[in-house]
Amino acid sequence: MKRMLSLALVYSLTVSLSAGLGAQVQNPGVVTGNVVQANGVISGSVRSSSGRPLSGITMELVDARGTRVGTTTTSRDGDFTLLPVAYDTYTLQCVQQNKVIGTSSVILKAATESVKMTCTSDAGVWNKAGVVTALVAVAAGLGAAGIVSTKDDASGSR
Amino acid sequence: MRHVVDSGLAVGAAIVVLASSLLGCSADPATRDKPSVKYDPVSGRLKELGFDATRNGRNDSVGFMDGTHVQRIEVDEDEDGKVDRWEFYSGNRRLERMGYSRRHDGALDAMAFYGEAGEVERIELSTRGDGRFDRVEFYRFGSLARVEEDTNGDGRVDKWETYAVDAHSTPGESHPIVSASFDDAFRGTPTRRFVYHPDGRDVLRVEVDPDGDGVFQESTAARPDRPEN
Repeated sequence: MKRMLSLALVYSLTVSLSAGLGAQVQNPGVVTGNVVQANGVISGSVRSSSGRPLSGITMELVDARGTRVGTTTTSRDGDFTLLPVAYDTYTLQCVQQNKVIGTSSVILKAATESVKMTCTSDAGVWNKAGVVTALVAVAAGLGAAGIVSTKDDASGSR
Repeated sequence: MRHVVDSGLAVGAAIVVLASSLLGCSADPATRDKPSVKYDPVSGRLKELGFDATRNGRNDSVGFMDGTHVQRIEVDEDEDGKVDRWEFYSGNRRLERMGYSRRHDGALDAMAFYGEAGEVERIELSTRGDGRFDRVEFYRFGSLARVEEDTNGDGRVDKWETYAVDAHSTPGESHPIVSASFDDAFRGTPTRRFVYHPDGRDVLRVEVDPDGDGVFQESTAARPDRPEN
């Protein structure tokens, strides 16, 4: 009798478990409880158009409404890391001398997002003169001024 | 024009040589590299002229010539054996383009284009260093006026910036940003646009173009720090 009761209990538990699993398969995707807002960290590096790391640049994070929601300053190597913010679409701004000198769109949808951006702050690098003057000077020093003579008919030959 | 050797070339060259001798050179004259010259074996015309542009005693630059015509000069700025700068000259020795290796690895990843007056007109950059030029900076009066960039490498521009540059600008001066537009959907046209305050510091308003017809409307998401009209 005792053994019969044990078998009946095992059978009952097995049926109940099967029924429970069956119900789970038939009614999936039901989740209840509090939804926690996901946050992520935006970090990256900033360089100028000539490739120079931009240090001491204020990096601002602006949300879709145009409101600043984060700020930090780039390191000596041009690197930066902002405090965690909610997953969303943002705009990163490089600020130098109280002016925005570059922007980048950032869509944050993971725990970390790395951004490499170019901000122009050294146009003067590209304004520097070429070295043709030095070449001409060398030619003159060689006693071969005719090599790079301004005369159109100079052949530049030996 | 600063990039062009003017008609007083011989006088200028003499002054440079004289200045060099007066100022001296850090390198011992005995160990200083001598300029190297190569001629075309068939035509006898000058082909290459190696020289020391930085005047530290080591040859770091090579001028590629066609006789009297300077075609290109390659400069190894850090003297590591790799070219860092390429200068391309026109027939009248005007600097037309200057290439640059931003990573100093010998690969040309930036190119500046110059106007007739020697001012920078445009800079094209390969920001990833993969050979594809994905950012173009347009200059007016020597200052940045506009940027177009392909940030995701799909071949289409997805970021636009404009800056307030005027004719009285000092070359190289940074000017207030006017607007920044982004194509977050990577569809080829901007999906949203920031319009900045005239001082170039704060966002004045946010505009959106959801259907991509080029007509922007102010975003309905009101900013909490903006007064209601």
